[in-house]
Amino acid sequence: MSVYDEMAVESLPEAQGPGADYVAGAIQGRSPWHLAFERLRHDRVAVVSAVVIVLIACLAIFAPLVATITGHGPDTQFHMTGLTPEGIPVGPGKHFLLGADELGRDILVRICYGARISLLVGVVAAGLAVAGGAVLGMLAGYMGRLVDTTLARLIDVVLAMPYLVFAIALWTALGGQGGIMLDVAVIAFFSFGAVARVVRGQVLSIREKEYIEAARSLGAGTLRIMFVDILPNVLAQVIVYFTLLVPAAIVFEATLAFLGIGTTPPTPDWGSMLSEALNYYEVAWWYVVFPGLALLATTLAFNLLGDSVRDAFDPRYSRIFTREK
Amino acid sequence: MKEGTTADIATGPVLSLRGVTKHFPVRSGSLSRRVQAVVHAVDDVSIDVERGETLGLVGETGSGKSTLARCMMRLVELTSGTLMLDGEDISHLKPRQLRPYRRRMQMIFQDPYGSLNPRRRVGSIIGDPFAIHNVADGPERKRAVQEIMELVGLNPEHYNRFPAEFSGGQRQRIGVARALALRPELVIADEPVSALDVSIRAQVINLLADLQEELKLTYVFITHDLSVVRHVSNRVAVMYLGQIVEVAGREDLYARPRHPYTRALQSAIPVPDPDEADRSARAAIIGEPPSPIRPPSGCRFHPRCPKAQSLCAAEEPRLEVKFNDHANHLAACHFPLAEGEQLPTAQVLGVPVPVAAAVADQAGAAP
Amino acid sequence: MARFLVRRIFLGVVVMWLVATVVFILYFVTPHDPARLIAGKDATAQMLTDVRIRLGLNEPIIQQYFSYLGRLVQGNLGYSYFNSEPVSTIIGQDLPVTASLAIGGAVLWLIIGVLAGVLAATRPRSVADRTVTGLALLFYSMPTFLLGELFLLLLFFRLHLLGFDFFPGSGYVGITQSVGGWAQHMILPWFTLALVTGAVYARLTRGSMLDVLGEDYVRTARAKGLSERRVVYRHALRAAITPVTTQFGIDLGTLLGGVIVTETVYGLPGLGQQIYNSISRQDLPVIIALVLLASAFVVTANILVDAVYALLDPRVRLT
Repeated sequence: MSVYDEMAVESLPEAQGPGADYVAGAIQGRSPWHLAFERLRHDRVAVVSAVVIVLIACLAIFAPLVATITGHGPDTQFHMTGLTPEGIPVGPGKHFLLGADELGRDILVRICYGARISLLVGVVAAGLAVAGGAVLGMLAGYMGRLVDTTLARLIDVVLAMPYLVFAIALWTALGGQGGIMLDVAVIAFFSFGAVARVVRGQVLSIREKEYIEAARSLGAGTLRIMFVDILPNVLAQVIVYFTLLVPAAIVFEATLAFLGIGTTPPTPDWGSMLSEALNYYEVAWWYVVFPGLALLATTLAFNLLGDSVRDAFDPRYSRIFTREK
Repeated sequence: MKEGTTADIATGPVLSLRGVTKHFPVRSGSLSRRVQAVVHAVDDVSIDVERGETLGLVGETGSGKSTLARCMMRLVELTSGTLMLDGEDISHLKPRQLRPYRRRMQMIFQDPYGSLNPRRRVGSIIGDPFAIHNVADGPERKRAVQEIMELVGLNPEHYNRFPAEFSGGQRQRIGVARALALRPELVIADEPVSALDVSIRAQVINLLADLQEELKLTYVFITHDLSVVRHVSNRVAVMYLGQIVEVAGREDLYARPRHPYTRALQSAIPVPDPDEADRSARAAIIGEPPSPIRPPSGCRFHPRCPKAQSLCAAEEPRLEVKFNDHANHLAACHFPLAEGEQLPTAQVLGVPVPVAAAVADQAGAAP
Repeated sequence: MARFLVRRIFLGVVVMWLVATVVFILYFVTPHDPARLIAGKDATAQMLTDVRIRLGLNEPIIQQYFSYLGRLVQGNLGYSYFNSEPVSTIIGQDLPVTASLAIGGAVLWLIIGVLAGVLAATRPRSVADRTVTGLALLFYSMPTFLLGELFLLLLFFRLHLLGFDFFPGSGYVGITQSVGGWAQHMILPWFTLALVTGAVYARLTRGSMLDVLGEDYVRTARAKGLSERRVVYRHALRAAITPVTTQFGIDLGTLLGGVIVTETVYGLPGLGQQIYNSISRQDLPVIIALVLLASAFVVTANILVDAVYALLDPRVRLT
């Protein structure tokens, strides 16, 4: 007689142990996304960062409005009010809220227009890099062997290339044409490798899980498994990477502009403004400080938000206390 | 569990294996393809799964039972041999060709925590079969999913919950629901209750029994736990190191085991009654299972068998009927146990008791 | 170990060849007329023809490719179109400046980063920890050129106004001329380069140290009575150093970008500024040579880092 014959099924309730009610009733369909969002909502740093980002976005969107209010266009030079009789830019004051640049243009307005480029390039480039990298990483991780090896080698080569140098090379080879499209393409190209590598690593471990085997036993095809079963599990990492990639892309674009690559004058761009400022910092500190602050505030906000997003998805990462295994 | 009805047997076995072999190559390095060694996970297994029955598949860890399950499900490529589902050869079909067959055979997995995607809602998980095989869409699919949820004893209103919100036993029910969604003929259950608390096991086992009756299912029930397999199976096959060493009807196997390994496994089950425990002294098996990379010559069990003789090392025994047994009682042994024959116990052989205890652990007996 | 190195070197050569091919395609195969690019905007038709003949641009592409590769292998990098000097000479002149900056900066960021990270990790949640984490975040978010400009504005200009003359605004003094002058001119550039990258290392070290300090074997070491200093430096740090090594390998690529920017900001006549100037002058041979040189550097450095990795962790040698 086995133990099992002797047990009466009817006497056992559906869920076992103390807290069964807790399991069955209390938690109603709270998805991991929901939980992460809740954590984020209560993180003060995250909220402040998000507000800053929204503010900067508003400045970018409403730049023409700012231009109208101040009465200064982004490219219009005001030699009378913007420059002193000696030709030195005028500082912050009643005419120019944040001062003027070497051609008498309004720095405040130019910062607002510059925000457009930075945010646009940052978000689009990061988005492309993340999307492309994630897909490639999933392919490499799941399909294994030949696909994986070739992709891994390709990623290695791309990651090994000194990207700034190559951006320069590309720019000069194209004869100085391309504008911000080139920026976006270059940044995306040199960033997707890192995403792909991370995603590939994750997929390699997910691939061995039993629920993937279950999906195959049901008859699911490769594409379905990748997008229905694997993707939701890497999505969190991908999103975190995105929020951290945006500021990197913004810095990259600014650096390229600083070196004279990407945007062409007279387009207002934080990087090229700071490049000019290098020549005038002794007489016009505002030329360095205000665009610099704008740039710093943007990147800082995105980085803080990215950190918070990462913490929200995986509270273990707060690492303040000793980690339990 | 009920015996299969005579009407069902007439239509032929659900699953037929002939000479099924699965070897895994062991490669060195990432670039070179040199095969250093081969893991003989499953070797030359031939067996039929009869319609309506529950075939129990028992063995220690490393016996190859999980690999055999995956061979049956065609989750892996067969190294050699044939596999027939309802008389149709599916041994070497490509995944795309296999898809329609997958409606007819499904699997229940061991780990209730790993076999469900934590990021998907339960309704979506159970609805997968409907989606994959384009059977039902939208509200119709939802209705079908909820129907099967009720069938396995889950509350259909929990359709939108995530696996983390269910207990282990409930999760296993979700796995069962997923497997049964398209009403397959054959269900292979790979240690479905091993990861559950003992008190839950009975529920799940009885659920499986009820479903078998209601949906006319055929089961292959894999486990390392002899007491469970006795409770659920009509027939039991015992595996050792990739081969089937004995297969028989349930009562036959327990009353008249022919293979020494079977006998040793049985005697290792602890008996709750202390008085009876003293009387059934444990049979001794020496040592641990050898590595499947270099299986012993001849009968693979011979290094551990108390009855081994030189013939055993030389010649591999065939799986056949011994003595006057029933036609479906087969054993692979040169010197099968006679009626009532006991194996030498630990005391007689002078082998320390911990060895025999190790066997009991591996037999996975219930406390 | 030897086989591992051979494999890596072979891979490195392949990558270099790929890079050279890509550069070739970029410059000689694209629809843009390389002759015009090289000869400059105000070239006459005669000059263009001359250039074409000299560069062999009338020959079939494949032939051009092989003569290009041939020249590279021989070390012939061509002549600058700005001042007609051989490119190799230009590189020779500028290399010491860049090397000073790069090596000094790298050493500095490793020290600052790791020490700050250890400091923060050993005093979690303290003022020190929060300061380090906050500063790290600040510097990590800042583009290198911005930090450079701020340094110039505050530490050079403002201090200068106050009579504090220590930091020079630009320029380079060779180490052979005056070690003191060299160091004085390099301090600001070093810190500009080091603080931004060091911030990453501080975060990284802090994170992995916190992980390691929570491990059981550290607890055992403490229980054995080892001094905290030994526990931290000998045991925990050794384990935490691996991600730092990985990051260092990755950063070798970014290092070049930082060098270019820093040299431009501080007016250091190194390879970075050379490339910047060459861009505006469209001095193609110099640009090509520097691109190839940069890639060669990254590839070599990666091989070295991999070798170090293999020394530290024998399992790596199997890959």
